[in-house]
Amino acid sequence: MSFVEVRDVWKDYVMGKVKITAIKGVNLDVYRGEFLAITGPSGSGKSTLIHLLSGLDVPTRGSIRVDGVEVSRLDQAGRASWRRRNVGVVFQFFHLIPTLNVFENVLLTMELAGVPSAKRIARAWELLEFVGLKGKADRYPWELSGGEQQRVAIARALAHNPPLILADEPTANLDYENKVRVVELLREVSSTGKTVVFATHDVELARRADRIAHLRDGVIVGFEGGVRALSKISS
Amino acid sequence: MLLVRSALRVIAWKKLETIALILVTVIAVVAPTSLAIIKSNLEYQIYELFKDVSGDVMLTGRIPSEALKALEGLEGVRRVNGMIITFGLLGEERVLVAVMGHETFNNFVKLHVIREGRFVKDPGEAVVYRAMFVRGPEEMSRVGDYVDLVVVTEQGPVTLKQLKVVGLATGYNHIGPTPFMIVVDEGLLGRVTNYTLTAIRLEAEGDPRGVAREARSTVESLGGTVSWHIVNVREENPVVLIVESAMSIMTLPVLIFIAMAPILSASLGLATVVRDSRNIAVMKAMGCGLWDLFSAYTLPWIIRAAFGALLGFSISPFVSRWLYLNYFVGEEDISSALYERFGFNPYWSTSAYYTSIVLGLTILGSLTPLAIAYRVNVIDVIATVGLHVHTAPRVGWSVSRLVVLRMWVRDMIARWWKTVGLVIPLSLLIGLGSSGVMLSNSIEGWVKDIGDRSSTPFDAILAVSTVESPEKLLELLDGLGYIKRYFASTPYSIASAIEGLTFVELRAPVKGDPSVEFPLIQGRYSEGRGEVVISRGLAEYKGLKVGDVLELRDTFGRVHRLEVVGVARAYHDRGFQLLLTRDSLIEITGYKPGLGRAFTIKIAVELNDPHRVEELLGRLRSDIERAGPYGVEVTSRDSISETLKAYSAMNTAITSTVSFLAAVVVAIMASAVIASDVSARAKEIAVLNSLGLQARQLALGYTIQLLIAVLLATPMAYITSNVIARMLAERTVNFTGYIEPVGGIETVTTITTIAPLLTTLTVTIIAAIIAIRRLDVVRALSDL
Repeated sequence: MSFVEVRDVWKDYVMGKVKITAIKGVNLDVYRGEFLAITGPSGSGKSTLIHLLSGLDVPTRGSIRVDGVEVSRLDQAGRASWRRRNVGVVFQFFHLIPTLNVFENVLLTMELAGVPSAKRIARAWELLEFVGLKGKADRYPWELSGGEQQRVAIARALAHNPPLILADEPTANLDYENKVRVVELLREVSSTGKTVVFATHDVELARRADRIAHLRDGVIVGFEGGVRALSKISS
Repeated sequence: MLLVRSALRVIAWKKLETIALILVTVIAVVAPTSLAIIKSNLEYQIYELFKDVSGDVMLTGRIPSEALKALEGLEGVRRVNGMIITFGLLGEERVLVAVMGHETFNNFVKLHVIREGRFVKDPGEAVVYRAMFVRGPEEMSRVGDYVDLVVVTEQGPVTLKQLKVVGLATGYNHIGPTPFMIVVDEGLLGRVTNYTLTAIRLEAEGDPRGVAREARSTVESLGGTVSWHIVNVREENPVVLIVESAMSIMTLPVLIFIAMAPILSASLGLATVVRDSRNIAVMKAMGCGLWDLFSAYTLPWIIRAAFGALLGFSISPFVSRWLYLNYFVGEEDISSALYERFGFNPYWSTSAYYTSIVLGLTILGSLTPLAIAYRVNVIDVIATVGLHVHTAPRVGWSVSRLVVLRMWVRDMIARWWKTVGLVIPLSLLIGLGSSGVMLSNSIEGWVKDIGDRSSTPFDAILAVSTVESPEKLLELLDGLGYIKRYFASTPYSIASAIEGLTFVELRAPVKGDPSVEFPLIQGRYSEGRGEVVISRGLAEYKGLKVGDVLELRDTFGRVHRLEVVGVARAYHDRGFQLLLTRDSLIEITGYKPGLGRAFTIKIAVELNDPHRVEELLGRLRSDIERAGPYGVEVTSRDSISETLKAYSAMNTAITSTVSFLAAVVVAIMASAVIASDVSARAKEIAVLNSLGLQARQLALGYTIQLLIAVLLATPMAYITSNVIARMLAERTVNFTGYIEPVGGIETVTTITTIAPLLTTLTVTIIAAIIAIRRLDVVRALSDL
């Protein structure tokens, strides 16, 4: 049974007097523990789909169900509450909170999710070690390189132990070495049983995922690597 | 031109900021300007009225008739009017009796209307004048009636029989406690009073002080006595000074609003510059200079402020006129008569003055962000990715709890302009309410004092006018069994004798125990020349204590140095009394009690039975009036207490009104600052939302920031309230007396302070919720 079920989802935006349909009848199943890449050129609807999956936005039509919860039917506060426990988000521009240092940025999501205080510090150290930034825990975001910031963002997304990780172009602002490192980190995350969906325009990086969904003009035009995904899921 | 057009676009797009600054600027201009215009009108009206009545110089006393001619010959004297004013009885009613020419009468009573009949022409005729707005019977006689008038003269009471009333008049001059004045022909009264003038009105050219000095010595050289004189100079006019003092209760707190517009423009401008730092970096990279940055980031604020200031300038005179007609002119009040006679001057120059101050300061405030914009480091900003275009303080990081709280607190340090934009207005708001409480505490202290017989023993103060020596009166008091103790003294008021004070009252003891009226707090009573006991209000106002020297300027500008030997609780603590010896009084004033038109004596009385005060005071009054031709005014302890309570109520009403207005202004400012912050932090808020923070939790964050701002504002407010309260106490000293501000930090937690603060916070939190709810999270995250 799929962990994420997207059924006939449409998303319209009104920009001034112009109506733009960013997503056109998308159907998608993502399985528990799968590492899915959504790829496509700029403007194909990747970010919109990630926003819809995370509950930041709601579809104009259709339904999105995550682990049995119909997210698209929740109100704004309900979606925020659901997101707090079930989703970790990684952004293209990292978006670490500037007034919190690295350690506190990781603690933040745990505090929001109500992780017991005693567990937070150990978990934060564990994650910083995982992303290789244990030695920079007291640094502020502006004191880190782009790659380091994105690794902190991944640690932050994982901190409250959500089953679903969504990443929107997490490598777009990084050099090649860091791009690979971040994707490998996400792969490692998925290997722990978490479902990871990441959007990228870089097909080569996307191929490091279990499966690729190709998006063009708001429509999924095809999948790639389904066998690898199937074998991972069945194993 | 292109950049100006761009500035206009910014104004149109950023509606909230535009509306907020325009509103605050309008209030900053209108609030002080409208009150200043009203003040100028009242001062003008009262000065003109005063000048009509008293001329440039007025002398009162016992003035021989030949002084009229002698004074006409003095250099600088343009016109001389003499008059006799005494008091008498018409039936049971106490009246003033006046002898004056028609022209003097016109000047004296103002707005007189011979409602019926005509002015007096012959002995045996009288005009009955009724002062408007004085309590008492409306009618006394009709034209054609014959009345018997008992006049109190130096020779004793004289009855003028069968005077024919030839005219009825009304006017708005208050001539004492009685509403009626009977004007009779000088030929008639001259025969029975030896034609001794009681007052002379002079119109002068040039320096009225010199004329006053010459006139006084002329009168004295002819054997007359001048008991008091007034030099009518507008800047020193005592009534004008009292009006100024009274209006300060409102004008002074309102001046705070002037500071609001520049604070808002600076705070919002800084938020904009930081939000747009990436744009600024790009502009600078493209070669834009200071002027371009000015056009983009200062010009919109200047245009908004200019629009608000212009609007404020245009409407201020109309608002002030509306306020004046609705709140300062009562139907049954002298103000309506003053308005009818003098109209209302819009004083555009006053409006221009305040407008230029507000606009100038707001332009200065708008320039602050320019300095930050100019310092934006292009390389740093362009190289930065993510949310952090500003630095945050490095504070301990190893604590696992309260990360969200830490985030909101550090944000206030990182975005200091927001904190300043919230803290200063809040401190002014809290300070304003708190200063009102400090003054109320002080007045309540007076009310308590006046209610405590052991500290203020008198039951009433009698002001008695008599044409004969008061000895007989005092003997009468000695014989009254229901009087426990009394203190009789000669009063003499001097204008501008002590710097900053319109009037001080000098008192010389005549008989009795001074502790009835002036119980000592420090030192002893005056025993010799040059010694003085001062009232507590004066001691507090001037910071004087026993052993200090008080400098007193007499009406001719001579300075007398008096040693303070005691400080006493005066009956009316708001007043400024000096208790000195009779010799000192004569030396300073030249006034010899008993000479001139009459004795005036003040008697503080302590009754034997404190439970029958009203009944015994009525008895005392009738006992005195039965004993001779005495004019008696009774001021009971209760009436003093009532007056103080009225001050307290007025203070509370004004503080509440100004605080409410301040709450509106601060709510607009704080809402604009928070809404602007939400807009500037849109991406950060969107990220927090994506991490699961709900709108109400974000609103809670802003609530925490507001509460921290209140905490930071409180000590500042305490300082502000002390400054405001002291300024108010000093500026209103001639109206209410010196109200020493009383109270500590607890004054910021009273309902007067908390209510407007809560209103402001509620409005601001609602504004924050609306701003957060209106935020498009997806767009904010997508926006580069």
